[in-house]
Amino acid sequence: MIPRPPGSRFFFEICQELGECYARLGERDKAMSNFSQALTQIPDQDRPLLGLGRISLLEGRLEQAQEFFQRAAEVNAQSDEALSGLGDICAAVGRWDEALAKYQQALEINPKNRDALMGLAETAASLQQSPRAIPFLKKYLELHLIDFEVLLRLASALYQEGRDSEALEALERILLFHPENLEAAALREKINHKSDQ
Amino acid sequence: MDKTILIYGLPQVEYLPLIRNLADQGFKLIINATPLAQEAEAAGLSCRGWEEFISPKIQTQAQREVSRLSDRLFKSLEPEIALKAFSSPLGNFIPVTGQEFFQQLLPLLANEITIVETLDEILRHHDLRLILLGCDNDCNQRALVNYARLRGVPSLHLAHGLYSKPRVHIAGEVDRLYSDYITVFGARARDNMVASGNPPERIFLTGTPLWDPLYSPGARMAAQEARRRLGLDPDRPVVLFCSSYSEGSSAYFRYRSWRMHAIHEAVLEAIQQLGPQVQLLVRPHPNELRRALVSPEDFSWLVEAYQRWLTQKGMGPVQLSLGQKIPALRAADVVIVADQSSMIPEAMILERPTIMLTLLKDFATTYTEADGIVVAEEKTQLTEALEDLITYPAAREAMVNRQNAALPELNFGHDGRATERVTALALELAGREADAAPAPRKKSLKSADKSKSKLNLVIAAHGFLSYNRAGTEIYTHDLARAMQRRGHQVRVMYPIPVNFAHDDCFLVEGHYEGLPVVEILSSPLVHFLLRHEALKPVLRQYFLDHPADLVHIQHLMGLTVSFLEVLQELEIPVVLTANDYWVLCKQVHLVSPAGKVCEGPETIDKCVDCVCRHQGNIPEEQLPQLYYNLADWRLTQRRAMRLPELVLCPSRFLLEVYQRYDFVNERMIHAPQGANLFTPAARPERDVPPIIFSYLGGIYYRKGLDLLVEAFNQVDTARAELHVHGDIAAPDYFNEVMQSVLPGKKVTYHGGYSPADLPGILARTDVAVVPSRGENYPFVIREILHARVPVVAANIAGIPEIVLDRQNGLLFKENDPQDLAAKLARFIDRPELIEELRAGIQPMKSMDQDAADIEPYYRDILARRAQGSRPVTSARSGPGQGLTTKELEASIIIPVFNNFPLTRQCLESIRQYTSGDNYEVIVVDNGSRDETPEFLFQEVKAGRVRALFNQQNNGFAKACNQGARAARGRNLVFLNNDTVVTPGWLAELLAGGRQAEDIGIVGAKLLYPDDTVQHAGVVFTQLKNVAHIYKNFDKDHPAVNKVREYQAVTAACLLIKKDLFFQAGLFDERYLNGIEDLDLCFKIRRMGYRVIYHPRSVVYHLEAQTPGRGAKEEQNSRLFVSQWHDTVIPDDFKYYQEDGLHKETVITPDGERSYLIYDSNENIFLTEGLQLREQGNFNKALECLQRALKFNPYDPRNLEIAEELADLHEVVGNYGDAARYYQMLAEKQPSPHYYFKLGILYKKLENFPEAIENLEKAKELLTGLGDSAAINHAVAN
Repeated sequence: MIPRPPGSRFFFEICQELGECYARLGERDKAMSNFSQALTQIPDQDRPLLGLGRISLLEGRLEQAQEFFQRAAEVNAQSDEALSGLGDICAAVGRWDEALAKYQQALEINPKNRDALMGLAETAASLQQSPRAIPFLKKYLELHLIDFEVLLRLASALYQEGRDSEALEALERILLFHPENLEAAALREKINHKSDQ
Repeated sequence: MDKTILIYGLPQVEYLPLIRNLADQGFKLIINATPLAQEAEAAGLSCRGWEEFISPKIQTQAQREVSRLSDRLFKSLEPEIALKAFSSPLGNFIPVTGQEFFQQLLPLLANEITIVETLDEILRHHDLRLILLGCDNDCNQRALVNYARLRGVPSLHLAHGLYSKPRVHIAGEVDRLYSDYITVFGARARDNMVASGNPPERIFLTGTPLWDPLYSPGARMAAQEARRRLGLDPDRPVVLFCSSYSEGSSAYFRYRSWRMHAIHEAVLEAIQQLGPQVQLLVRPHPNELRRALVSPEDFSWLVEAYQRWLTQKGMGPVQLSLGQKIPALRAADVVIVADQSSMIPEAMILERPTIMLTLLKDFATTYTEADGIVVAEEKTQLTEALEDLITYPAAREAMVNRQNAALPELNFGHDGRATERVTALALELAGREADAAPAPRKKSLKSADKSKSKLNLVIAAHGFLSYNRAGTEIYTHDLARAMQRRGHQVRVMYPIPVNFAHDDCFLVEGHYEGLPVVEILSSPLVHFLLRHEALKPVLRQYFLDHPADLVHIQHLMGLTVSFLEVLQELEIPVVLTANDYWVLCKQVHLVSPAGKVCEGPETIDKCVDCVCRHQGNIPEEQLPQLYYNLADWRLTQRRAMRLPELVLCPSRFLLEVYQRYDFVNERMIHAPQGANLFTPAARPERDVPPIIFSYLGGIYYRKGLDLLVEAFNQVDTARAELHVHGDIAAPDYFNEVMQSVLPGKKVTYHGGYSPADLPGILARTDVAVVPSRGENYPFVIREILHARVPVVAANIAGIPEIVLDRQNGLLFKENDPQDLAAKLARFIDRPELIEELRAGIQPMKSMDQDAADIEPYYRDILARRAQGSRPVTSARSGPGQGLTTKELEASIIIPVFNNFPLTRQCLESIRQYTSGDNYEVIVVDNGSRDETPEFLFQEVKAGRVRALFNQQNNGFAKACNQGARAARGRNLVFLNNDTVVTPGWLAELLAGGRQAEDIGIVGAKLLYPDDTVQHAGVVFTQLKNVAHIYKNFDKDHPAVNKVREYQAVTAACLLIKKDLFFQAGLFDERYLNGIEDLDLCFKIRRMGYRVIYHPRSVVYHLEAQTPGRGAKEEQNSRLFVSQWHDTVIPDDFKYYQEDGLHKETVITPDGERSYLIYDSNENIFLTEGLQLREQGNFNKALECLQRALKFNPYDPRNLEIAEELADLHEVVGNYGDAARYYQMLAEKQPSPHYYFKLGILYKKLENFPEAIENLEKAKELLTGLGDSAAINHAVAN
């Protein structure tokens, strides 16, 4: 049997779980309230800070979000989610290089962090530096073989770097499973067309 | 004879790759049309021409036949009448009349006759497997198809263009499919055909080989290059106009239609308006020449005439493109197409903006504006569109993007791989036995051995290839084909689920690849039923109209036992092949919830539990019904298994399981099946390692890919690759498995595969792995071994009968990835093992051999039938038969009123589990209004029971007394009809009665379907209320397994000496359906005899109350109290005390009275469950703990057990089950902990509203507890 948590810890867990459930349902006020209650119980826990950060980010309160994510990162230096959140904030305000660095840090801690990965890929694409995302995309795909969205990102990045045959290989893999994927088909046509010329 | 495919009416050279593929598979080809025939010859393919088979004799015969027909026609019809007969609402099809009409008609007839005769000539010399057809819907092709169908040769229409046109453009029913099958280009064409009433199952989405070349890199030439090739100025814009050949719509050669003429002029004017810079390129449809009815020599004249006409219109010389489709399209900036045409998607594939001119806008069309094209109905629309597109490159680009988005719907796959798909389909239809013995077809069968008559066979199964491609369906097909090849008439019969009302059913005859089939259309529910009464009259009539010598059943699912019963009634012999475990396992595959091969259905309870685990969320109140269904299932299937003349078991394992659980037949034999043997492909030369391991088959849990991946993760990656081939039946499972592949492991998923792919896949495989959790006699292993590839397979079921360990493969321990990894490692460490095992592979049995093995059984059965020695297993003598003068040991008396299925089940169980024949069964029918009287009549006729029939319901006591009076046994056993007896039940009951002279009545242990106690003796409470002691306790609780005396036992199953029964005055008939048993017990005790409970006699009691039972409870109670109140002794506490129990009444949180029974007995299931949990055997632990909960259902310790169960369910990921237990705990003892756990579990189940509700409750309860002040303070701060 699971040992029953003592008073404040137990209350912390209830508030934290409630916060996460409310957040999933989009009831942000209630989620904020519960995360805040959890935080008052145990101030040195990163989980409620991450919850508060995510909601602040969603509501466009970037400074506040940054503060929460920063605190979460201080409380737990290995929090990839905190770093990913900080990356999101940097990206939102156009601090692209900084965003890239944060995403990279997050992915070094946890290569499976998909939010960080997609953030990294998008940011790199905005900077016309898609190839920078390639090692991370590849690493992720080693762990998630059939994430076609990520595979398409990889194909796109490879294409940008001129690695057409590798890009085509990735695209063929997508189209094998999803022949209706127009984006992949279009990129394949583009590469084929380029080689024709 | 050579296996041959006829290619008729396909002139296009784009089909050459398809032709080459078919030739590569060993088929000989007959081609009737050039230029494809010439191209095939030039490519060195072995082809013959259709004309080779048209002898002068055939033509003379055809002319003679036409002459005879025309004489008859002219004599019978006046020309005016004939004309009227051949007109339609749309006008006359033939634009000539009278004599001319017939003159045109007659050569057509001659053609048809010639075609039929020529086809016959081909059939005499070739094993014709398939006809591939071109696009024309003419009477010649229809004659060919219809005649071929009669000869058992299927046809496949490749449908070029036909279904893209408005239906009225070509005479005849364009939208009606006349061939057996058709390939269509895209979903749009298919939907149009289905909307026109064509059967979807005959339509295959493949895309078209005609368009495959458009996807080649060479087809993407730059516009300038294309213009240069066509002699156009590379730097000036080009408009391509593609004319059409439809009736009356020829663009320029015979412009009979004023509208088309006008359209053509409109195109010229529009282009002129664009200015002299724009070049016009015209591409006439290749068929326009043919339609123009001119010879090729005249064609140049036509071109010149056309150019002159253009000059008159001010266009000057215009470039014509004849036969250069790709350069023409790529040269164009804009393409204009006259009406619906396959040129539209072709232009789209080559990324050219396309304008379609409408001819008949009111008719259904295939290509519309939704496809991104411009549809111009008026001249101004055309002019504006052209101007925009020529002027603005961005407009062209945007249009191409829109067109690209629509293409996948128009050309399936949109990938240039249609030829591959059509090849696979053609091979499928033509059969794939490249190396099989030459298959004699109908003609040659005439010369077959006449000493053996041709049999008229029906092969029946639960489904067929038209709808599902699984092992049994494939085997059914292959066996039918093999029997056909042996010269027998074969029909395949199978159910098709349709959305009918439950009792609707009818038959439809048809063909599958030329094989006659009979489809039984009925409700989808039938697949879950044991009987299908509505089928009986339909089937009876069918077999009376279409007799069969013998029916060979491959699977009874969906056919039901009713199917067997009709065949038995009509005396049609039946052979049954047990292709799986369906008759004894509701889950079909005999796999336990733990993913291992199940030992078998020892108890119904086990199956109930299994079904509950597989299906989940079965409410407790439905368990009795489930139990009943499973019991009914088992007993009925056992009975059904006895009906066939012969049961064939493909594996010894299956035979043993069937026999072990008494699903037996007098003639039940082991008969390994054959398989269709393809030609193994040559193995490519390569160095080994890396070792190529392959997995082939459907991907879902039972097939065990997860075990393989887990094992593969453990082996040396550098020297091995794993290739996975198969359709994904369970996407979540597949995703999870693929995500478990460790980084660096070379695991590749290749998608599904068709039978045509198998030789290639196996040629590239070193070792195939079959890691299944449950199987019978897998086809795939035999196919793998046939390709001489060693197999590593799970050592389960029938697999060891095919895979011989260390001879042709290796076996690994069931469900054991470590052992599998060890076996894989052996190949990696010592690659020469592959060749060693390959040397040990013996040839596999072919389907022809299989059919040859089975046929003697058919003939033996029929011979025995003819001699009148048919073993009628179902009509065996019943108990007590022929013992009229001898006293029997027991008479089993069963009063019944309706509830026919229960009665049948009860009787079946008695027959099954009652040893010896020194007993009789007497059923007393109390005026049932259901099938009971008819059933009993048949049972009596068969000598299985005696029956008494009342006109009305006389109640339990009277009916029992009636039975007792008719009884011939020394002992009477009163038995309810809602019972199922178990082995030894009667012998134990009788033994109980013999234990002492003073024993008057013996009661049995009655159990609910879940193996909990329904009756273990009758006690009286302190208030003298009657109760079944230990009701709902586990059947193995020590308290219910003591032979002991009670004041009374229930008469649901009660034995009494007959003499004593009569001395006691029988049942008191004043009691109406209740308490008469207690009264009898008290009377017997008063006479000095004892009433004992004998737990070794076990009977399941479904407690499905007979209507009317209990209705007079109050009246019965008053009568009992008036007679026996002073005699009754409260005794429940006495038994509790004796058994180490203590009962205490409690008030529940809802204010209701309940009670607890404290128990000093060790809960053995709890002890064992906790031990198993500690050992990590969670599934077994769960089973034990669940049983522990039922050990004593009123035990206060159950709260702890429930929490253990909840935690364990959570550990193994059964969050729903865990939540169910926590819900129960929270209701019994509300606490923040339970609600918190519920919240967490619902969150894991992603049911957030429920999660929030429970977490809020937890929060509320917690803040309301002792330290709430501190918490509130903390919250406030």
